[in-house]
Amino acid sequence: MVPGNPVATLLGEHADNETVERISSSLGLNKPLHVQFADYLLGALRGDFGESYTLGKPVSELIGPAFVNTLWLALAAALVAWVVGIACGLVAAVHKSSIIDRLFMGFSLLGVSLPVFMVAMMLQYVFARYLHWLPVAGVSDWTGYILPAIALGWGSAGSIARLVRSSVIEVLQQDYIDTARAKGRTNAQVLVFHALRNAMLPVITLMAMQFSGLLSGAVITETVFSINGIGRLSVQAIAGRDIPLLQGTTLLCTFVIVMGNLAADLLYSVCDPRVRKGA
Amino acid sequence: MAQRTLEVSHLHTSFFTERGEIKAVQDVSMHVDKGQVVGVVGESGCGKSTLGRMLIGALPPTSGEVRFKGHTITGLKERDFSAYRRQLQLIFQDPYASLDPRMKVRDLIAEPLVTHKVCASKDEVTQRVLGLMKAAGIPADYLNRYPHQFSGGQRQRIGIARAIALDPALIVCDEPVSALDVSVQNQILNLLRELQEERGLTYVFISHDLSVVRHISDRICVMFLGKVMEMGPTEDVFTEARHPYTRFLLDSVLPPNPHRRGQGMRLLEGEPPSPVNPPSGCCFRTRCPFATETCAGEEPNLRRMEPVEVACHHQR
Amino acid sequence: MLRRLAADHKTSIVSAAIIVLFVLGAILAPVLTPYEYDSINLAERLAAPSAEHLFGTDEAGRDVLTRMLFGSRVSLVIGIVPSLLSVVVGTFVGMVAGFHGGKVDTVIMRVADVVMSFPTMLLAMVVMYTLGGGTEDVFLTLVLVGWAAVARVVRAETLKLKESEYVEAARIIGVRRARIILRHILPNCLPTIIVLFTLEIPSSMLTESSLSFLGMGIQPPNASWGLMVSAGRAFLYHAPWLCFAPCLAIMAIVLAFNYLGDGLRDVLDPHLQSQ
Repeated sequence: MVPGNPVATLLGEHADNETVERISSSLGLNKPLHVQFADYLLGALRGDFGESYTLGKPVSELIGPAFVNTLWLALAAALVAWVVGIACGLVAAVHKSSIIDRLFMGFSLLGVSLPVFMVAMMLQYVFARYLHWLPVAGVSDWTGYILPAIALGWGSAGSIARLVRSSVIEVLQQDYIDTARAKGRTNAQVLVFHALRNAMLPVITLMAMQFSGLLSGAVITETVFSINGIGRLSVQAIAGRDIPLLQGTTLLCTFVIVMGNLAADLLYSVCDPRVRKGA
Repeated sequence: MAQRTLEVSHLHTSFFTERGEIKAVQDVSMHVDKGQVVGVVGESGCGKSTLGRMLIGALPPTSGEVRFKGHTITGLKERDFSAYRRQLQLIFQDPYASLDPRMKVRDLIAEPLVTHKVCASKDEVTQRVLGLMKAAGIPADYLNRYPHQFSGGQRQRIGIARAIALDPALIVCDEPVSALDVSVQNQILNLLRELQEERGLTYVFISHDLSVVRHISDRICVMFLGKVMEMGPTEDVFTEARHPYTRFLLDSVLPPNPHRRGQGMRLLEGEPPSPVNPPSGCCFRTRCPFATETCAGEEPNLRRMEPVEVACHHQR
Repeated sequence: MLRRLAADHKTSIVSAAIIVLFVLGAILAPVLTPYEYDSINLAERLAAPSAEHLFGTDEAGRDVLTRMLFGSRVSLVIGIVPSLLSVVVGTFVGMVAGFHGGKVDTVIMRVADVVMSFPTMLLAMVVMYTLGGGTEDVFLTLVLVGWAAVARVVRAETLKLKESEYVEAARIIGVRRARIILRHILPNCLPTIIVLFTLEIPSSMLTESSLSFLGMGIQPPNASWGLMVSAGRAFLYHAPWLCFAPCLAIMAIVLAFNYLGDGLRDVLDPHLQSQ
């Protein structure tokens, strides 16, 4: 099914057939496909995802710590994306069609258009290698997360900023904004309590979708900054044709995405009374 | 006896929405004779457009039957119905929404001809299209224009040309002038009347405006909340309206008669009742100045009172 | 239409010009440069940008600009061909789902949801791993990843058009289903489809460059920009031009397509939500 016999890859080109055969049987690879699959499912239910071919450790032991690293990275990136995205979008909406607006929107389109590896490498080059402000690689302490989080979060920040801008502009044209102003609310109050709150709904949906985008970007960011996360582990698994490891990371990602979507749905119903009533 | 083009009996249809079942059309029976114009009048939301769609077989009734020239066309499979398709056409209310914005006038008018393969060659199609444009009063040099280059009245002429292209036995005109400027309305009404006389067309003419219907219809059917309130020859309905709702409609369009001042109807109060939760008995009673207990308890049937039919407890 | 684009959207025009420039560069690559893209010259390894080598040379002494010109062929083809296929597949599937409704719709849209909610890169990596990893496999991978978003938008559009009065009018005239889709729904979806295509190109290019960067996309000796960045990464500190020249190229072309797509959307399709 999947090309490339993992045992052959493992042992190199010069392994004799007998050795390949012996290791295959010890890994259970000579059993029929459906038996292998059933074995895997039963194991996975018990928290046993098999043993990595290349690293010689149980997959569960490998993906645990890796997941923690990725989670911190994703959270840091999400923080960057949300704070920067919402702030930029709001400011751009308030100063619609001004220089600031154009500048911020150009900046956010740049975030969407730049390959993550490029941003990551440029940040690494300038802030770590050239200015020596931050570590080049690894996450031995929190400062190690700063550059990867910016690299990963910029793209999301860009799309969030664009969406916040357009929904705030739309909301600001509604009648209830005029009502709020007429009641004597200050501009800042109107923006935060009325405009932003009502503009957040589409933004929350986008954030949920961005979450899987962050995982995508994490693959690259972790590779560039040598962070031992799920993404880097997946890349290693593919390079080494390490099927149990790849299955483990993929399964974990699927789980995280399902949870992320669920969280977004819940958040949605908290923010919009209409959804609650309708459901 | 005149030839029956269309006859419908006990038509019902319901829509199901989040708020509940809406009985859009309830127990409507009527007939249209060849060469006649039947006007259907009522407020918006009374089910007249839904009725129109059912008459031409574009919407299946929940129950009841539509017979076209003696053949039952309700419940037919798509393939069996296609023989009747070209006989039953519709002129839409909104000439802006009902013309594909990406088609030229030529293609719009040719569409029915091409679909039913009535022409032998492309030249013949063009000739027929030009003929139809002339009949509908569209200058021939507009052949290659797009709908957005036209005014509402001109667009409606295109819609009419499409509807008459296949010489249908019945055309349902669904509020064909209500989306147009008043100055244009008369031109389109005159066009429809001319076409009817020249080609012997049969119309069901749907409108919320009695004065529009009066001049074109032979018979009139007044609807309220999905039911027929009064039905009969136009002049009889106009001169001697028996149902309070018909009288209200007449009062709201006719110039106030100084001799009848003081004895005329009061204006109707309130909004029409909700179709999801209609009143018991006579559905008009909540707005009727003559409503009594009988009206609340019992639903009036449509009764024959020569020369009309009326559904009201107070008309016996 | 083009005139309106020109009047209101100067950035779109600049973007279109940049794209044309890149396309010309890709076509005329052999004429524009005196070097071969694979001629090794160890005497001139890692030479800094100069008049002879505008973007310097790489670790095998190959001219970076030349490799970028030839690499742009791969990158552009990878941007355009899979996007076109994605749009064709997505349009077909989306229209069928939207027009047919019912179970067909449910099944198609569930599959699309799964594809869309899964991280593009991980999905692409797994697909590439399963397929093997030639250039055609990159195409296939990008289509597998890209069709879903198109299908979703086209379906929504089809649902809207299906209820439109002019489609009802065509039905009443007796126009058959296939012809309604072809003559009424497809032409009215076309502006949306064009915008989707324009925006699909940069995302295909980004995915390809990321895959190649990880060593899972285009394989040497073919040159693509992503692959060049990946190869140059080892020399990031001694010869940064190896990385940054192709990076800038990717940025410029992706930005150009995104701006053009945005401009087209404003002109063609004001209803399509910008994200």
